[in-house]
Amino acid sequence: MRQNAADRPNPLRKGMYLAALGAAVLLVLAGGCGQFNDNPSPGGMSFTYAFQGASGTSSPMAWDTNVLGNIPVKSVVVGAIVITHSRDGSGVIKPYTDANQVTPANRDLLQTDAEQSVNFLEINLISGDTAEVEFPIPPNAAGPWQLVGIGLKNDLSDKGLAEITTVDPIFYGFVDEFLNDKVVPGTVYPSALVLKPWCTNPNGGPILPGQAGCL
Amino acid sequence: MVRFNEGISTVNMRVWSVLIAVAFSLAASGAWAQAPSNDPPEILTSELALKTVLESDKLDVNFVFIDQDKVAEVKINGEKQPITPGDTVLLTRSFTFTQDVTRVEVSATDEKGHTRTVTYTVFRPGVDPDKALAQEGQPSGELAWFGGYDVRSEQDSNPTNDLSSPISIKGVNVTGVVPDSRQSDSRLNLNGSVGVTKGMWNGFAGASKITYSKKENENFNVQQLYLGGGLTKPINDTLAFAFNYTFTDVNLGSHDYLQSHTLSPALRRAVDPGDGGTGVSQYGLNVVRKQFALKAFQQDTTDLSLTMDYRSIDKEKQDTYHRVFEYGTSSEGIKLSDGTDPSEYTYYGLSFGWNNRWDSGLLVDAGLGTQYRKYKSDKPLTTDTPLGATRVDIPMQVSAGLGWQFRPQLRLMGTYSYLFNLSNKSPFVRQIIGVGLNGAF
Repeated sequence: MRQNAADRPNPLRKGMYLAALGAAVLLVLAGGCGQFNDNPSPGGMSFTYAFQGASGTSSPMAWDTNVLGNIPVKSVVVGAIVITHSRDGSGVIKPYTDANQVTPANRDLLQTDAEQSVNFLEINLISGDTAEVEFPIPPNAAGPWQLVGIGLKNDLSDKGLAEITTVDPIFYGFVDEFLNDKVVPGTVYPSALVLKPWCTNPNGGPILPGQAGCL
Repeated sequence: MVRFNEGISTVNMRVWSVLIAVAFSLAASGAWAQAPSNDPPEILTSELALKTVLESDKLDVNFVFIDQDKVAEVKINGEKQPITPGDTVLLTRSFTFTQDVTRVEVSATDEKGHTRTVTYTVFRPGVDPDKALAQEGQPSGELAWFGGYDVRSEQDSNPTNDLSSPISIKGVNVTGVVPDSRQSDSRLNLNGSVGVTKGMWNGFAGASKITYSKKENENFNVQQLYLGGGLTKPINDTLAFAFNYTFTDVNLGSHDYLQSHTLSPALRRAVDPGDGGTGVSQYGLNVVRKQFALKAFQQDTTDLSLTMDYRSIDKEKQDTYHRVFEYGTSSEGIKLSDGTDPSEYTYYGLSFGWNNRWDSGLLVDAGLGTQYRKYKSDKPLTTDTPLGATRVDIPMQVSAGLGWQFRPQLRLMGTYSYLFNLSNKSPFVRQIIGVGLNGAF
């Protein structure tokens, strides 16, 4: 038995009213609902760096494979590491300006900072003219950060950062200044990033990771 | 319960005549003779039932008005009719109906001032009364407006979505890059919207603004402006087609971020929730064209999503229930030199919401939601998890609200939400506690 349409509450009318509300009132009254409330993805806060092989760019990431017997770099890690420690023990947080400043005394501190900065590091395969690396930059609340590059002897571009082992890195280096979000996102960073051997022997000579005497 | 077709007759004008009308009047006179004198006049006609489907657009209608006292005045649709006052008054009117549904309101007043009014609903030939009344139930051609606001002060435990996980990843205790002591920040969350409806058309506009207190979080300040409109076209008594367009402008920090154009066709169906209340299911498609401000870095993209939305309200209009299933794609338009877009993902979502609403007094909200986001190319921290070889995020949110309604335009509300992102790339925990005022007009 059907009710008189005029007597029966018509839910569609409510639905149609909701149409008018649309994205408007629903947004206003969404408190308590299960909708997500996270910030929009800060896509404009990413950073682009061009590395070796890039044609027409002025910011090559460079290394000399001859020093390690022509062992090629198969992939690179590029990104930002938030520095929270004092590299020289002075209590002052300074940027690494030379790879030689990484010592047994501060290596673990740097590794910890790198582990906590995994959201801002990317592994990239080196192939042909593939030349640009994009990564999100750390929030300002994190404090100072440095651009870092790490050359890997294996292709780990299909793996995760957590799967890099201690014998994979053969080169590394820093852009020798702290950066922030004032670096214009989406443009190629102009400074060169020169990588130096990951391991040196006690005499300062380059050696492969895993070899005895690697500092 | 009233049968829908009860009272509807099909008129053959040739059958009825003034003579029959007079016969009615004579029959009614007996009843009139015994009627109390304070009754209003009887209104009789043989051509019209309370609901009548015509066979022709033109109809001559004979009315008979009877009263123990003299019938002094007769009006049809507010227009006074020329009559000779008396115990029995006969009146013939010719009508030409040009609208699918016409209401003929007839009133008669006796010399003592007693008035009776009868409204006849007349449908043109070929009109389906069911459909016509459903359409007529839509907002009339009159302009109606609505609005709402929500002002909240909130404490956000993790505005940056900084890494944090209750469990270690590959033996590493994940704490992120923002020291816990500096992570939390307060923010002001403002929302307002207005809209209008006219017939099946609607339009709306609104704005929202989130402002963090700490300068270091200003990149997470959000300003949104939106406006749009659309239509809702009934198909039958339980089904309607809706189509909306929304334009949105989003600023992040102090910079332009994107403008989007959203087209949302949907099918709505009335559903009986079984408790005497009302419910509406909606099956919709959203097509969102995003135009990013940072052209050098982000390319324009199109997001698609399919939604199944259900809302219900109980018989007493005190409890509402809302659930949404969704499937879609999303991208921030980041194109790397190798052609990949690390921001691109597909998602399945599910959310539920309950609101208890007394007409005034206590307000209780509860919500639960989750999504499964599968990124197309973004790499995880490790592939050695059940989540697969690319990044997967599974955000899960529980929320609650407790408040007091002074009147619909003024409600005080405390809110809490807990968000945990289970991820092989970016696990984090975030809580937002707020208190504020909201209302609807």
